[in-house]
Amino acid sequence: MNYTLVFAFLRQRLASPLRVILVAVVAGFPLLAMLAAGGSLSTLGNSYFLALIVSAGLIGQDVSNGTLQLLFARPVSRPSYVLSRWFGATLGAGALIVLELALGAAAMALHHDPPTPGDVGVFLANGVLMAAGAAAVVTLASSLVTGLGDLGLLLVAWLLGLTLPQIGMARGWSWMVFTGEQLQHLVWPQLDVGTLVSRGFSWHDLTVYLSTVIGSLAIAVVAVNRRELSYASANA
Amino acid sequence: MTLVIERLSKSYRGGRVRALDDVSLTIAEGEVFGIIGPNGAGKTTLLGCLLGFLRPDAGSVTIGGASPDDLTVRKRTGYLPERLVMDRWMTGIEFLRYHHALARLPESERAQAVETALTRVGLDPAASARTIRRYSRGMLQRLGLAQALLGEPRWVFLDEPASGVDPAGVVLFRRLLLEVKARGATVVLNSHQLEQVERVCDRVAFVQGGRVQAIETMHAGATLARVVRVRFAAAPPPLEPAATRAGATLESAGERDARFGVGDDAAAARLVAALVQAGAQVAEVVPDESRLERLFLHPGAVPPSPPPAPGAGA
Repeated sequence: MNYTLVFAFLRQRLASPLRVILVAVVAGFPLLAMLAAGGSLSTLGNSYFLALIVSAGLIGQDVSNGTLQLLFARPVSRPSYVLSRWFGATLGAGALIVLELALGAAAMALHHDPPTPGDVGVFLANGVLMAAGAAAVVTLASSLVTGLGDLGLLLVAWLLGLTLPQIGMARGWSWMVFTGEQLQHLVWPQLDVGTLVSRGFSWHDLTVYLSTVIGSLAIAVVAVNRRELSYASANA
Repeated sequence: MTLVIERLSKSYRGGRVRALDDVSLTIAEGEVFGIIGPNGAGKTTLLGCLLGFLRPDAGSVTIGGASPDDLTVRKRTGYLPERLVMDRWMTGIEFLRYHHALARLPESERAQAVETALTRVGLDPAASARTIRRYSRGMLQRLGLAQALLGEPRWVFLDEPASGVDPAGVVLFRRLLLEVKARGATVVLNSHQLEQVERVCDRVAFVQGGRVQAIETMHAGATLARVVRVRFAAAPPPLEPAATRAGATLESAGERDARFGVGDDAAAARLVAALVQAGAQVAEVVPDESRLERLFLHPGAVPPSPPPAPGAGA
């Protein structure tokens, strides 16, 4: 992990007005609603989308704008770069989730219905796990396409994850149902701590989540390792 | 700590475009090595392979015996790309601090090193406190050179360093390059500014069609002459004998002017003396073609693979 890269990434995200506005919209409106009418922590903005806003283009934009060349002329290994980008995105989204949680809990307290410590713990754990998972999947997508193409790639995977099981069930093709379900797991890597607590620990859920996160990061490292960096024209 | 390129080949588009074709070079430690050639010759691809950004199809590059990808090599490498893209939200100072940290240079020296780097490239404190998005092209180039020279790297790769820089900046860049050379760093300079290249480089490779067509030594032992144009006040006597006596070659002769190929300044002085002695009324002697212009225009005039410069970098 390269903490210089992690903190530079976080500052870069904060310097983007579009991302700040999107975060304000995704997290701000539910908070305003809670302030006005109260509610539960589940009213708060989706951690997945916060992670998506923070992490979109986390590698692809470096490739398309050409900053990677200067970076890789420095003693920075490519795996360290990929992991630092993922960790930075997780840290950024995690910080937003903590802030959102604090404001949400304060809004609930104003309505004399503060969350229990258990609710806070589950919300926080779910949010951070979701952010880490989403950031890993975006890291994978961003290592494969330039610019913000990762969002397009995730959208296509999400739509396929929705439609393939429907088609598979209609046609009786179990492989297609399975493929669609796996795509859904890939696009929405989730480990529900609330369910684990209430129903008991599940190795299956943990394995699915970890394999998605670790697998995504491993493929991203391979993709970045294989990527050539050049501004030479194909004629030269 | 030499930089060795052995039989390097690189192609694009599945092999349809051959960017480098069996290139072999040895760049000695402390040498300032220029790469010139027309657009699309393969210069930037060569630099990309030297920096480990591109994977060659065949052949190898080693820097001090290690791969260009080796982090110990990169720790001692400075690089200024042709198309300089920076994190535009940073200020100039932040950008240099960031690269100082990425280069794993001591944090205790950071503030001083950044200030020194900014002073060296002539960026004043007020300008360096501005965000990079407000920098002019010339300022960006100065900042880029400052980051390339952070930590006194052993190997410096510069791709069109003076591009977009004003004349004062060009002079400053040349002075900085000479400083880098004086402390024994190896410099690989890719530039279209032939005069600049000729002034600072020990050797220059002319690249065309993905191959090194010629390598010319810039100082002692040069194989390629430069051309001077001599204007006469009156019709001169036959010029060939005087040129031969002075060790020059008569390239072309008009009614009242002639072009001569000379090896160096001393040869030019001998030529003028021989012409005057032969009775020619020399009115003016001006440089007509530099060595590198000749190399560019007549690459076949020098042997393609001379040995690496002995004792380069002195």
